[in-house]
Amino acid sequence: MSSTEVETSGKRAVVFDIQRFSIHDGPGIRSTVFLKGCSLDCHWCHNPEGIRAHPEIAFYAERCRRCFECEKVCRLDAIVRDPDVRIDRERCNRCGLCVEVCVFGALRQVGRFMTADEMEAEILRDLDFYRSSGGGVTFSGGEPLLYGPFLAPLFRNLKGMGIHITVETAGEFPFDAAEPCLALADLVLFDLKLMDPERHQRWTGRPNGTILECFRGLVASGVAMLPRLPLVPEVNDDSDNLRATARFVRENGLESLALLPHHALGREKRRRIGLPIEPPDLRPATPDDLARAAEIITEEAIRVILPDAPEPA
Amino acid sequence: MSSCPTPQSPLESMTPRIRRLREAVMSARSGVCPERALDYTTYFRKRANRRKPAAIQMAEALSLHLAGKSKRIHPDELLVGNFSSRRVGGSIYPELHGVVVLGDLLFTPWRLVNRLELSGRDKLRLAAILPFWTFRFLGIRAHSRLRDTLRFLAEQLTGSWYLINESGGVAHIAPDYEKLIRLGTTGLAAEAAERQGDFAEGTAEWTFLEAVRIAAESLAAFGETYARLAEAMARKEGNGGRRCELEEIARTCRRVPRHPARTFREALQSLFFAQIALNLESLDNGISPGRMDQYLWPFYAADLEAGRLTRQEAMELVAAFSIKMSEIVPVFSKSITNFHGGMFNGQVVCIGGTDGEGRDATNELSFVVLEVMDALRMRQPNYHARLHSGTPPRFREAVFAAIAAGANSPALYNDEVVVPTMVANGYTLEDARSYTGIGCVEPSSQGKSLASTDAAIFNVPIRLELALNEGCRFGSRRRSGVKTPPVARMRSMKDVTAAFEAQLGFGLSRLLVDLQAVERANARFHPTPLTSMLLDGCVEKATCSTGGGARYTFSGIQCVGGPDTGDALYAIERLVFVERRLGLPELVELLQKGLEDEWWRAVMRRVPKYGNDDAGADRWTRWVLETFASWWEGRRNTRGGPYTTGLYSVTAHQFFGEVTGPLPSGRLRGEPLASGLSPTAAFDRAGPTAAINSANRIDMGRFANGINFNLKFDADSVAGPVGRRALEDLVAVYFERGGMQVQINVLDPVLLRRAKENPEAYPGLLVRVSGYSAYFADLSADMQDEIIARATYASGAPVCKV
Repeated sequence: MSSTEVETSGKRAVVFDIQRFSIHDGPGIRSTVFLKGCSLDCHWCHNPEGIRAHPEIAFYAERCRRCFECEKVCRLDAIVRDPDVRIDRERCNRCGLCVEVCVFGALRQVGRFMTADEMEAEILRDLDFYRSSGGGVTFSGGEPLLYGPFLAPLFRNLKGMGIHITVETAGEFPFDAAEPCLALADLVLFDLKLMDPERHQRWTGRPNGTILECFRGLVASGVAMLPRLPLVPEVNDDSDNLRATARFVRENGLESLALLPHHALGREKRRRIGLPIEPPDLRPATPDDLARAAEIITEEAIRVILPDAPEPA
Repeated sequence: MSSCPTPQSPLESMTPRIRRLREAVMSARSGVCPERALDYTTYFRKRANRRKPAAIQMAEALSLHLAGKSKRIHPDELLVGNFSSRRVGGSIYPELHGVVVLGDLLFTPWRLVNRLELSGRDKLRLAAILPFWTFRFLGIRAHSRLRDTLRFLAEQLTGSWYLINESGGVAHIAPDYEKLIRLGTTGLAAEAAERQGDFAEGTAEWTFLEAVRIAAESLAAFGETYARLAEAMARKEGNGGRRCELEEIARTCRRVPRHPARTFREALQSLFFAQIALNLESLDNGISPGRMDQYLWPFYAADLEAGRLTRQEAMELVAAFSIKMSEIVPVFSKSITNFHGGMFNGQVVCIGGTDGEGRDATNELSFVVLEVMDALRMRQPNYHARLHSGTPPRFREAVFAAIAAGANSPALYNDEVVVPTMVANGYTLEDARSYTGIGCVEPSSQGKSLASTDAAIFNVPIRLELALNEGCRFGSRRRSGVKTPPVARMRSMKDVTAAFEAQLGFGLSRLLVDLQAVERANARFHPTPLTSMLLDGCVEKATCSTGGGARYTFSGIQCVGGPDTGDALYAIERLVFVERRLGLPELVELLQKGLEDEWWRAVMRRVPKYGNDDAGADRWTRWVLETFASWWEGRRNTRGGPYTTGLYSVTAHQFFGEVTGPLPSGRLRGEPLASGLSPTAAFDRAGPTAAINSANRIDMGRFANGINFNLKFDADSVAGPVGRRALEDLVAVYFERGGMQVQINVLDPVLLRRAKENPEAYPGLLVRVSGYSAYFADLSADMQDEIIARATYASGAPVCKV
C-alpha cells in the first residue's frame, strides 16, 4: 500500500468513522475523525479498515439474512453465495450498489468522501461539548497526515473557534506537505513501533527511517508531542526495543512515553473487508505485560503513561 | 505510573450500627401487612360511622389504625416507627384500589414480580373483608352510571389506553414538615381550632377542620405510643448502653410530634412519624420529605454549635432515617405492577438548589445526605439534586463523583429551567425557587402543592395505530377510537396527522371524563385531613386538599411513547411521501401482519430516529409532544387547577409497549416504548452527545409535570476522574441549552447479565428506572433485558491507532 493512493487534490478526504464522545483520547469531550489510507501495513493493525485509501465494502456475515438483493443489483457478478464471504474482491469495483440495497446492514460502505466543509459541519455538531469540556477533535486513521493539504484550512477554521486539535500519527508522511497543519495542532500523538529498521520492515511493511526523521522534524518544530508505543507481546516488548525506544525519546528531549496495549480485534475487521490475515496470531497485551514494559522504560528515565482503563482481555 | 487503587466501599464509612440496620432491612423478605385493611374495615362496618361526614370518617379511621397498629422498636434503632407489621411491608387500601389488589393477592397463587409474602392466616382474614368492599371502593363509586362504571373498571384492569392512578388516591406531596417540626401537632391543631371558630358547627368547613384536629391528635398520640413502648423495653433491657438509648428514644417520642422539635434528632423523629401516617392515610405513593437539607439545617447547625451533636452523629441519624424509608413497599395489583415495577413508593429527598431569594442554599447537610446516599445505596428514598448557576463547584463534584462511581443517584434537576416553568404555571417566584421533586421527577413546591402529579398515564402511539385503521386496533373490527378516513384516502402527511390528532383527542377526552369522575370521588369519599394539615392553604380556606384547598393544585398527565410516535410518523413521511417506496395501505398491511416481513422491517428501522441528532426525526417527536401538551392547555381539573403534562413513564413504557401493535418505525408489537424523553432503547446509536442534541430540540418548559431523560454508560467508560469530568461537562451543556432533568446510570453490563442469571447473588444492585431507583432483581425479566440492552456508550477503550 502506498500513500500515492490518497487523493492529493486537497479537496476531499476519505473518512471511515467519526466517533463522538471520545473521552479517553485527549483532553475533554472529543470527536475522533478517522481518515482512510496509511503507508504502513502493521501486522497487528487495530483499525485495518484505515489502511487502504479508497472506500471499500465490508461484509458482516452475522447480519446477513440471505435475501440476495445484492446479487440482483450487482452488474459485475461479484456477489458470491459463501457463508462467510459475499464479495469477490477481484471482480468488485466498489460501486456500492449492493450496500444501498442491503437493508440489514450486512454489507456496509467503509469510507466516504467528504469535503472539508462537510467534515467541519459534522465536527461542529458537538461544539458546545468541546467548549464546555476543553475538548476538541482528534484526527486519527489510517494516517491523517497524508491529508496535509486537505487538513490545513480545516484546522485553521477549527483553531479559529478555539477547538483543541489532536493528531494521531503513525509517523510516515510527507513532512513538508503536512507541516502547515501540524503547526496548528495542539497535540501530536506519535506512534513508535520498533527501533530496529529490519524488524520494523518485517512487521509493518516499511523501514522506519522516514518515521524517525518525521519524529525529529516534529520535535524541532516545537509542537507538543507525546510518543506512544503500541505494546505487542513478542513483537516489540523485548528489553532491547523498549530501551532503544526510551533512549530515542530521551535523546529528542522528551520525557514521557505512553503505552497502548495490543488487542486482537483488528483481525476480525480484516476478514470483513477481505484483507489477508497472516500468521502468527498475536496475543493481546495483559496488564502484566504493561507493568513489565513500564518497569524497563522507567529504568531509562522515561515516564510511562498507561491507559486509564484496562483493555478487556 | 497510574494505577487504580481498589476504592474502599463507601459503606465502610458508616458505623457498625448503620451497617447492621441496613443488613436487617436488606435481608428482610417484603410482605403484605393486613392491619390497615382490617382496621379500616372494622371502622366502616359500624353503621354509625358510615353515617358520618367523609372527612370525619377518614380522620377517625386513620386514628383507629394508628392507635391499633402493631408497634415495634428493632435492635440498634435510634429513630423509631414502623410503617407496617413487618420489617419491610406494605399496606392495603381497600377503600381505594384495594379490591383489585385483594383479588390479586387472594386468587393469584404467586406473583411473578414484586413477590410479597402473605401468610395463610392473613390471607383468610383478608378474604373475609373482600365482600364488604366489593361495592364500596373508590373506582366503583366514581361514575354514577353503571355502564360507565363497568367500562371504566374494565379499561383500568387492561390498561391499554391509559391508567388513572388517582383512583388509588391522590397522595404525591412534599408535606410542610418544616411547619410540623416548628409547631408540633399542638400548634397545627390550634391553627385549625382557631379557624374553626369562623364557621358554624356542622358546616362542611367546620367539619373539615374538626377532621384536621382529629388527625393532628392521632399523629401526636401515635408518637406517644412509641414512648411508652420504649419505656417498657428500657425497663427490661439488660444491656446498659441500649437501655440508655431506649430511654433517649422514649424522651424523644414524648416530645414529638406533639410539641415543637428542639434538636436535630427530634426534628427527624417528628417528621418520620408524619411520614408513616401520611403513607397510611391515602395512597402510599409520592409522599416526599423533599428538601431535608433546608428545613433540618437550623437544627443541625444549632446542635453542632451547642456541642450536642457531631457531624458523624448527624450522619448516623440521617442514615437511620434513610434506611427506615426502605421499610415500606407498595402492594400493587398485578396489573399496576406492570406500570410501576420495582417496589417503589416515590419518597423523594432533594438536596441543593436555592432559597426563595435565589441564593445558593447548599450547606453541609447537603453533603451529609449525599454521603449517606452513596454509602447506603438502597432502594429508597429517591434522591434528587438541584443544580443552578451558583451551585458550589465542590457540591457539583461530589454529586458527579457519586454518579460516576455507580451510585446511579441522585437524579439531577436544572433550576434554571424548572423555576421559570413553574412560574409560568402559576407559582410565585419565591415558591418556585423552593421546589423539590416528588414521586419520580415532578417539580412541586414544598408544603404548598397538591399537584396529583401521577393522576394518569396515557399511551400515545396506540392512537396512531387507531389513526391508521379507521379507529380500530390492528386485527380488530370493533371501533375503539373515533372513525377516521381509511389510509387509502390519505394523500399527505397532513391527512395522517389529522387522523392521529382526532384519535388522540378522542382518547384524551375519554381520559378527562374518567379522571374528573375520580377527582370528584376522591373529594367526596376520601378526603385527606392529615395531608391537608401539612399543605399550606387548606386550613385557611377550610377546604380539604382533595377539594382544592391547597395553595397550588394541579393534575399531571403523563405522555408515554412520544418519541415512538414521532419516529413512526417520520418513517411514514420518508417512506411513503418522500421516497415513495410503498403506499400507505401497503405499509399498514405490513403492520397488520405483525411486521413479519423482515426486509421491510429493516427498511423501516433504517429511517433515522429521535435521539440520534437528526433534526428531521427530532422534529416529529417534538410535534407529537407539543400536540399532546397543547390539548391540555386551558383545561382545569375539578379542584380548580390546571392539567400539566409530564414526560416520564415509570415502567409504563414497558407495559404500553406490550399492548401496542407494530409501528411504522419498525418497532414490533411488544417491544418497549421510549422511557420518557430518552431515545427508544433499541434505536439509540449515536451516543450521549447526539442524544442530548436531540433532547435539547424539545422545549421542556412545556412539560411542567416533569420529564425524565436517561443517559446510560457502562462502568468502564466513565471510570475515574476523566469519566466524572466528562459527565459533568455533558450535563452542563444539556442544562445550559434547556435540559430540565437527567438521570445517569453507570452500569456494568457484565454484572447485569450475571445478576439476571442469578438474582439472589446481587440483591443490592440498584438501577434507575425512569425517575427512581429499583433493585435490579425486583424488576421483571423484560425490564431487566431492557436495561441490559440499552445502549451503553462504549468509549472505554482508548482509540488505538497502530
